[in-house]
Amino acid sequence: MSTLKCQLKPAAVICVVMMFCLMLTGCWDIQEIKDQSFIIGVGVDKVGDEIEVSLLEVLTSASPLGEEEKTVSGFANTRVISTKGPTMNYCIEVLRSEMNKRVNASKIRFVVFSEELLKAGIIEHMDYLLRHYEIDKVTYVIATRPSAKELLTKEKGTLFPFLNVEKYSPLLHTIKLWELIPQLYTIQEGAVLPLIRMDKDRIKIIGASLLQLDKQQFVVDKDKVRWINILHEKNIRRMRIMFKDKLAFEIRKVRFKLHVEQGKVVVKLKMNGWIIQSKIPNTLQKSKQLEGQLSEFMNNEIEEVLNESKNQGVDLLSIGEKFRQKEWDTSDWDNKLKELNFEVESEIKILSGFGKSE
Amino acid sequence: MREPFPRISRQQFFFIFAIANICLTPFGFPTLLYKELEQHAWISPLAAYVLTIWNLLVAISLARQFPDQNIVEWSRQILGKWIGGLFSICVIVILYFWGVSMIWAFMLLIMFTQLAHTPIYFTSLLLIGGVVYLLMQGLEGFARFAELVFLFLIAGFIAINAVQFTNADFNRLLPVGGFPLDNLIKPDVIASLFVFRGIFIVYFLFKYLNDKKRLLPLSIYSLSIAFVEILLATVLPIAIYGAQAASKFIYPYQESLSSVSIEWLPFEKLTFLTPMLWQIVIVYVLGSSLFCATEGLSSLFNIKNKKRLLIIIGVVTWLIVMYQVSYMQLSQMIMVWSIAGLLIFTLIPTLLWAGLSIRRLLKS
Repeated sequence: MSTLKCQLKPAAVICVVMMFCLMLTGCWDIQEIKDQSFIIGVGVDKVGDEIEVSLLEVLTSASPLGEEEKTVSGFANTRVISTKGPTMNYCIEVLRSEMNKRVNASKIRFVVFSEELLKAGIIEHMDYLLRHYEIDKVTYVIATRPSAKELLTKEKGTLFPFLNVEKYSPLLHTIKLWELIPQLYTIQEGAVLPLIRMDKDRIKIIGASLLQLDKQQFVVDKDKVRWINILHEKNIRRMRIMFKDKLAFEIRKVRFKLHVEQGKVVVKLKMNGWIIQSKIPNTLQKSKQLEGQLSEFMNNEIEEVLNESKNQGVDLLSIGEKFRQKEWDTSDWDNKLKELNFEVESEIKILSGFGKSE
Repeated sequence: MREPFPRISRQQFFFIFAIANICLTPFGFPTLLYKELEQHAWISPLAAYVLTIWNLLVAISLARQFPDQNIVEWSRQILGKWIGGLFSICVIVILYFWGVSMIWAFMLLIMFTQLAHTPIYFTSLLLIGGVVYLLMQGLEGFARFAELVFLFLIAGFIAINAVQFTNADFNRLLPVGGFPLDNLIKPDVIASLFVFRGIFIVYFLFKYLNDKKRLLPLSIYSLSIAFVEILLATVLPIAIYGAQAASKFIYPYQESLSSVSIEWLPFEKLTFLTPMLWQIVIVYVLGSSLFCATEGLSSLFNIKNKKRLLIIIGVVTWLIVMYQVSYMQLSQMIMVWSIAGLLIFTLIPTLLWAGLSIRRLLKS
């Protein structure tokens, strides 16, 4: 026993010494909260040949502010500070100098790009975000119009909670930094960013911004975002589909399969759900007929989105990546994509009239 | 080191062996491979694993022929005083540089993670000081430490790998065929075959094992743990980001881990675990490296006071790591060192083993 104790002693000492190394941050080069500026959102706008970077800063009690800069929300006191310059680094350096604080980027929850900047390309600005060791890969990336600065100024603490409970909004297609990164470097995967704006104090979804590499190619209207969400299996829980204002169908479950062939892509969707609202008499008795009509409606809608995106050069289903995986030729993918035929085969099953009716 | 002759158990050997082979490899290693082999990068640890099993077979076979001697002692017996001495110096330098390079890699890594504001020189002083103190207590003390924290490390590795599966798409590893054969002869790819360098500590630890039975299967099991960890570290960043995007990162494994947020946990991200895990791993690596260097030098120059020698080596190591190297400098150093390591630890022992086997056959 005593031998064991003797053997354990050095090991225990080393464990303690190792723990000291981890704790040194607390007593060496200590950085007080009052000396730091906590940023929760970053906005980037295009202004002529330059960019304007806006930082959404959480105010601590020690922040030296005038009353006019102060905004109060349910979550935090925040303010927006911005500056123009040629690069992200330059702008953040200027802002840091003005604040005379350490810019703490570890709390950044969303990065907003204006639509204008997205059209010009974001890769050089993304480079800063990807290199920064403090910026989380789970940060949301969003697009806005008219400007990121305006969105940050008006959001008043509502944007992050809105993005963070994405699963309830069928019209919102959220994307995080780690999901966007692969799509920025290859033409064989198209990226989809949520496009939103502030209307007074309310967040409005405009639609989705579709990117080829780092540039926006076109915008999909918010009503069509649900089809993209179905294809990407995002936010589909309790998604509702309105059919000619006569019927509302709520999705319970979706199964998605993709068959990729040379020159042809078949999207197979199997879903079931309930009727939420109906103007059609004896809905359940006509369910077989309605299932067929709903499927056809859905096939057309999804095919329309897919064809539009392929014509704009956006590989919405990452077919190019599937081609690469099958070792097929992906050179000149822009044109190859345009030659592909998309077919959607959806199979809808109506389970019930939601239990209470019919 | 404490006399009389220290002994370690098979279990302790298994623990040291597994973690020393994992080393800091999961961080720096995949980046270079992605550039050359893209989604086929997993082939490299697999090839290294097969080669290492061969090296292990040779190493244990050679060590069994000289059960009470280390490589420095028996190599001079076989190769003669001068050639054996030169070979021994190469062995010592390679195993010593293993520890130095891993501290440099660790210092570069922690600057990107949670220890970004910790003074690195002080950390390295504590680290080297701690390891030297541990070794001064005797090999048993080091082995006991290895035993004490092994389960924590394995639990940590399981945690950081398992969570990444939620974001992984393993189709990104396709196609399996179409392997770029031309890229196989690139220096980085050849150097990657030396990835399981931890096995070569067997040349110094063998004589201290209290039970030498069935050492080869035990070593292979231990090596397999390291292989799985390194394979996952290579594969997961590709499965999450794709080979093209993963090759843009300096530490892809850290980035793939940071893609996961666990909302139901109070700390949300598991990235905080990595500096802790790797700080403990480096104790294994540095401990093994300094032990081999001390043993080697004391055998080569017949130095009796091993404790003093160990302290001198520790101080020299600290002074060396005070020099801050860049990522590119370190990568190039590791590449040259790995190729030299392959020559010294694969080619020469294989030739020695073949020579001894033929001699034995002729005698019989």
